[in-house]
This record gives sequence, structure tokens and C-alpha cells, in this order.
Amino acid sequence: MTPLLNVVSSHHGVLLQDAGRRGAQAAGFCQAGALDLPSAWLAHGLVHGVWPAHDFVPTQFYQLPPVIEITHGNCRFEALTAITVAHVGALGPLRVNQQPVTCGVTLSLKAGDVLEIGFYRQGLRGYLAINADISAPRLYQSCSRVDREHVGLALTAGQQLCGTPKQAAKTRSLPYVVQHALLPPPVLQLDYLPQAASFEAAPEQAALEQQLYRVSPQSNRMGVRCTGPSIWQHPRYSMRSEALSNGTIQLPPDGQPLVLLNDHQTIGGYPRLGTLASYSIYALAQQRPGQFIRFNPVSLPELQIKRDQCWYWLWQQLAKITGTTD
Amino acid sequence: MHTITMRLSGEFALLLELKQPNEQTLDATMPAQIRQLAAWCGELCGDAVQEIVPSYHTLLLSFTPYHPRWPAIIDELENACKQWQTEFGQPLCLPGQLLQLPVWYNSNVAPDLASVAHQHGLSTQQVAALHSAIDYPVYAVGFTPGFAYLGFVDQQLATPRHATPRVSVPAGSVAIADRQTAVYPTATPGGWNIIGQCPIPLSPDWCQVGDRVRFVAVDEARFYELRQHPSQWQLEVTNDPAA
Repeated sequence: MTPLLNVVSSHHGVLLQDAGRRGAQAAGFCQAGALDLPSAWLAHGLVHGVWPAHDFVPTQFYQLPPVIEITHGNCRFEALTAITVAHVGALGPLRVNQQPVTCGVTLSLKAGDVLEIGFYRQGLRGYLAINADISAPRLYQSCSRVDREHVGLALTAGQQLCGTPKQAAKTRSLPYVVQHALLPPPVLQLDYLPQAASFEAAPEQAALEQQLYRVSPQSNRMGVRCTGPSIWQHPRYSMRSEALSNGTIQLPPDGQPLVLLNDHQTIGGYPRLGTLASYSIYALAQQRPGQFIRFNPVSLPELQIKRDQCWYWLWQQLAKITGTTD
Repeated sequence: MHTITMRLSGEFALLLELKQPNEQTLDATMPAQIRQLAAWCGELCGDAVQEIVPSYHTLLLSFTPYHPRWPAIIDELENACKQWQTEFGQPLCLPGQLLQLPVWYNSNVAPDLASVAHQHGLSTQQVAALHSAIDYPVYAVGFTPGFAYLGFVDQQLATPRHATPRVSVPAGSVAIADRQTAVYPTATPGGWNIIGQCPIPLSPDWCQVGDRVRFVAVDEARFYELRQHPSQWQLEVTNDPAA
């Protein structure tokens, strides 16, 4: 095991993440995991290049090896050995030893090189993959970091990230159009399942679908707060707590929808309007505070088709960059 | 007679709800029934299910994405639930474990003990006696790892949450919110009324929904002794009459 990176500067949004924990919610641990899985996979694909399996197998996308998730940018890493890294997702200024470099390409770093990630200008979350088997403490087979649960490795300034480096990665790059396809449009349409409501919510759902919301700056990995007109005509107050699914749209008494993300509490008592599709959660994770979102109802069969299309698109992009198919 | 309703909770998730005739009150057998239903669903679904999360009268089943049994398993479960209602819908057979926790009820470690006693016109000794008099079923585990929602304290102890939560409640705090009670397993922000302190550390999986928890009052000397040597305390009660 070799020291790979030294964290030079960091903040609460710099987190080691994989696909998250399974089977831990009954004990009260959240799911955790990378919020924008497609971007995380593309970063991984650039440096590892072992993707894809010849057949399109969507289940593989639910097993992501660790990457560093960065919210808002603004951090620096020093390479402690020769490694290849790639940054995919949000776009912002990247520098190696103060020289500008680009997102979405493999970057070869020598020991002592400093990678600086500036504030993102488009998108909210970037993923940094390293061509190594990263070693980090695991709980329920996952090394995903959750600060409030004190699980996983905290990437605070001064922390070293260790692992076993792999063979030097080939030079690979992600087309600019693909990088842009990962970023949400100015008004992001989110698909949700109205069937997953916890009460007879037709009037509230109609209001939700008509209105335009903004992502609140108070959003985090636990949830996205939406600001807009209140949905309630007559607020319903908390019911008995029930276990929550990822992407659940809660409606607190203030009438502003709250969309739960991967680090949400396992149980909660606010009435629920429905649940977002997984591919909409990935997109929402990139929508910056102040930007707009809309909610669009889908049926389960529609959702399944769109989800398959999302994974198929990702599989094709991975196949192209890793060059195992033509 | 309880009936089960089932609805979609996410693209790979179902929420089962155990409905009882009177929705306002939650009977004390509910956690044991939910636990039984959880075990039964776990057996039925095998590796198709990833998460089984009970909470009060509900059970969330999260399935393995793209498992070949999804979504056909929805119909399987629906049929199975009908069968469950006829076979088990009545009294239960899985009482869970009886677990005991030591508590020092004293204002030195419990900042709200005096005010809770004062609000209800009781002495602090009476608060301790009432709180440790019953075995509490575990209705849910969540909020933080290992935080168990226990119910329901004597009506005389029901105390609303603080209007403004404390920034940090120490680990081990035994607290009341309305008629619920709990022990904070880790230091977190919290708005519950702290009436005692438990000296032994609690792991995230120290209890499950359907277990019952008994609080045993200890004195100052025993409290510090157990804090030094938590292994002296036996969590499980071996001579459980309900088992």
C-alpha cells in the first residue's frame, strides 16, 4: 500500500464515495454514495479503462469503486507517487502546478505535482478518479464518507489517501459534448412517481407540477430544498415516522418541497408527494443553488424505459472512451 | 384484525403498512408484528431485497436494482400479504429480546430532570420510578445509527420537545419527547428532554424493532463504576418471562 495523494486544502464537500451502503438502514445508517453516478463512472472509466463488459448489464453501475466527490470545487491535492487522475462532472478551472489543464481527460501526475480544482462554474459536483485500488475503512462493504455518522475516511487537509497504484493509464478523453450532456439545463425537468405519495395528494401534486422551483442554497447531500410558492392549501402535520426511499419528495408544513438525497435520514414523518426517478436524482445533484427545477409525473413503466436509456447512453460513452468496442 | 396495504415507495421499493382498526392509538404488539412481517418478507424475497426498514406500523422493502424478480415480486408479495393476514394477522409469536440499560437519574448529568419533574408536579425520584417502571417496545430505529424510538412513557411524564434543540446532546443521554423515550447513542443535536444518563456505550445494532427495553435505575457509585467497566453490565435479560 502506497500513499497516493495528500489533501492540501479541503472542505466538507470533499468526500470519498462509492456506490453507498446496502442493508445498513435498519440500523439507522444512511445509504450515502456518489450522488451523480454517471459522472463518477465516466471519471472511473477514464483512468481505469477496464469498462465495459461486452454486454450491456445495468446492474454493474450499482457497484462503483471509490472516487472523490467534490461539491463546489475549491480544493487541492498533492500527488505522492506517479498516478493518473481524471476529473468529470462539474466544470471549473483545473490546474496542475499552476498550469491550466482540462476536465474530462486523464492527467498524469508525478510525485510532488499539485492538482488544484477551482470553483466550479457549471454544474455542482465533480468526481476525481485515481488509477489505484484505494484503501479506506469500510462499513457494510462501503467506504462512503458520512460526516455526521463518523463513517468512512475524512478527506480533511493533511490527510493522506493510500492505495495500490495500477499500471499507468492510457491517455483518454471524454468528448466535450459528453461532458456537457452531464450538466443540467437552466430549467431541469425531474421525473417523479406520483404513485409513491403517502396520502391522497392529487391537488398538491397538480400544484407541484405547475410550479417552477429554485434549488435553495440550504441544500446538501441529505436533501435539496426547493423554494417557490407554498403547495399546501391546508398543511397536514407530521404523521408517524416511516422509512424513506432515496429521492422522496417530502412536504413539510411550510409547503416547500424537500427532495431527499443519498445522505437522508432513514426515517421521517413529513407527508410525501412521490419519489424521484434515479436518473433525475443524478441530474438534480448537478443543479446549482438558485437554478430552476420542475417536476414531471411518470409511471413506473415509463421510468424504467428512461432509466434503461440513461444507463445505455452511459455504457456507450464508456465503451467509446475505453476503446474496447468500436 | 390488522390488514396490510402496500404501495410503491420508489422505483425499486415498496412500503407495507399494517393497518389496525383504530388508527389513533398504536398498540404495543405492533413492533413485534412488524418484526415478524419483516422476517417473513425477508425469507420470501431472499436476495431480491436489499433493505428492510421497519418503523412503527410500516415496513420499507428496497429491492436490488434490476433483480430478475422485480417487478413480478410486487404481485407475489401482494398475494403473500393476504395469506399473512389470515395466518398471522392476529396475536404474535416473536416477542424479541428484553434488553436492560442502567440509568443514573440525577440532575448532575440530566439537565432537564428537575424541569420535567416540576412541570408534572412530581419529585425527581417519582420521575425516575415512573420511567423505569415499564418495558418499552422498540418502535423504530433511525435518526442516527442505533437511535431507538421507545414507547410509550406514562402519560404523567409526557413532555414536549424543546422549542430550540440543543446544539449537542451527550452520548448516553436518556430523554423524553412527548410519550416517546430514547437513549442518544452518539452526541448529536437534539431537542428531547434529558432525564438521565446511561453509562454504557451503545453500538449501532444494539437493538432491533420488536425488542423491549427496560431501564434500571443505578446510583452514582454504580454509574461511574459501569462507565469505567461497561462489560460488567449484561444487556440481555436472561429470565425474560415473555420469551
